Amino acid sequence: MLTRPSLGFGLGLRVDHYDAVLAERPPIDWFEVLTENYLVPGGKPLNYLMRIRERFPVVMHGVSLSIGSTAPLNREYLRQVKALAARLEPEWISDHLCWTGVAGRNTHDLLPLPYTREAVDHVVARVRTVQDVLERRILLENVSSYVSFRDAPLTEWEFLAEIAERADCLILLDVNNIYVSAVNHEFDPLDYLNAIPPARVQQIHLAGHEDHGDYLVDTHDHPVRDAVWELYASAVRRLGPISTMIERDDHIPPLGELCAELERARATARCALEEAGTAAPVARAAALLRAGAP
Amino acid sequence: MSELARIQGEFQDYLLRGTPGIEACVAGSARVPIGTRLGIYAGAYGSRLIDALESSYPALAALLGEEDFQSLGAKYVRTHDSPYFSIRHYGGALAEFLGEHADYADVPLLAELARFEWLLCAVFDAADAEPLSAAALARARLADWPALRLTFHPSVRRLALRWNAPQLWKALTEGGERPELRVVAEPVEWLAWRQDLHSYFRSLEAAEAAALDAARAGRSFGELCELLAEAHGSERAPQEAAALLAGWLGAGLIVAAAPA
Repeated sequence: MLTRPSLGFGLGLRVDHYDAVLAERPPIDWFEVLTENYLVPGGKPLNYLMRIRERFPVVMHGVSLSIGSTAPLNREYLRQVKALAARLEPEWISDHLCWTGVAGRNTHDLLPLPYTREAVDHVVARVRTVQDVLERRILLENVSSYVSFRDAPLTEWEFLAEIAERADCLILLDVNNIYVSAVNHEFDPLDYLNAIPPARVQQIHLAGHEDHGDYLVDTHDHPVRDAVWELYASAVRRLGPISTMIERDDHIPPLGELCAELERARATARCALEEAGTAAPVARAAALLRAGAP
Repeated sequence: MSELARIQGEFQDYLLRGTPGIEACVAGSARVPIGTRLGIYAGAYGSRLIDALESSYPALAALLGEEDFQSLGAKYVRTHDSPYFSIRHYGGALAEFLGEHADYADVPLLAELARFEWLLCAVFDAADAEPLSAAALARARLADWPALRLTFHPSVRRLALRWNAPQLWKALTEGGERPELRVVAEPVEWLAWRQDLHSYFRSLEAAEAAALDAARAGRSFGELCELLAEAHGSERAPQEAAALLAGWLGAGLIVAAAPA
């Protein structure tokens, strides 16, 4: 088994909720923290983070690894990520299957890669280097995208699955991103889901998006949409119990509202597992393993 | 150059400079044409960096209002790329930009407010250090006092401003009546620092500013007393020195004191 047992249901840690998290002991099993926000010398962010870490498991989620960039890996960035991880002891570290800039620039966006053999080889080599430096497997997350590239023969799911297998890394499956990209590029999200190697998926992201009619934009400023809940249920049926969290980055509501949304994730997963339990012995076995049973 | 490197170079040139070329590499659909698709990225690039500026410069944003701040942000983003892995560090040249740009240079208050806000950002997440207590300092041997050198908290910052930007900042970020804008001939000295996770700032009299700067530059307590004697006369100097030191200790500005 490559992945760890499920941490349960978590949220992205946001500044607006620091005090409520510490004071209210909310029904949240774990937190995902944005790595770059804590690559600072000191002060309030790190102070709160370490106090929250004393009470909850955390995972680190970065946005600047730029694993697909043709610019050299930023060694100083990796050094700082590793130093933060040594202090924080996260359950795991993730970033995105994308690139963020070249020529010394950071666009601070998660830019899409062309799904080519060249890009697979390039990313695989870099993931191996990063994992050697950090001395641990990393998780790569599928991003939402709005363009696809000409002369790119692979599908996104083939691209992701092959990189994960060849680089021996894990997957953070963002179900909302699958849905957004499926609408934008007109593919069936279930084709994507069914092609992902279950043993490599360590975590799931849920988030809201903005509907522009002809296309969707991954904004993380809305509640999770019904179509994404349905896709999440399919993912749980396939993957068994799995660490799941909700990302909200803008229009951040009070913590209680997000806890209620997290409750829906719990209920959706419970139903999906019951269905899978009667239907699929493989999923049941995977579920038992993920739940930590012998 | 590899095909991947070429695509990434063209994509980035499009985002940063609007340079055409990437259109030939990407696919559109009948429903969503290439221009719309690429435009989502171009729009997100600008708005993300402007959002970062807004979070570092909340008072400037409030003073200018939504439309003018967006316009300023767009001009700054066009001329300033980010080399940083953390977006928090983007925007450090905004004060300089405001001071030099034809649209803003004739309102020097804007650059001063930006300088002040950027300074507060540095105070906010500067390194931690345990402040020295008055009791711990009192244990220093009397013979060591003239040679004592003070180490200041990593968050301590100094700045001189001609305009009353800090008072305006307070009104804009914490509510309250906006002060009348004032400019003075001699710049006012300011000190900013963090204590118990809270950021503070206050103005300094000339003598305190000189003593603080000297102490931060590594001058001994004996030398500080001499400086204060020049300002206040040798009669009052010891009392002034003791008062300053007590104030600095109480505010958590000092983290160590040891003879050189």
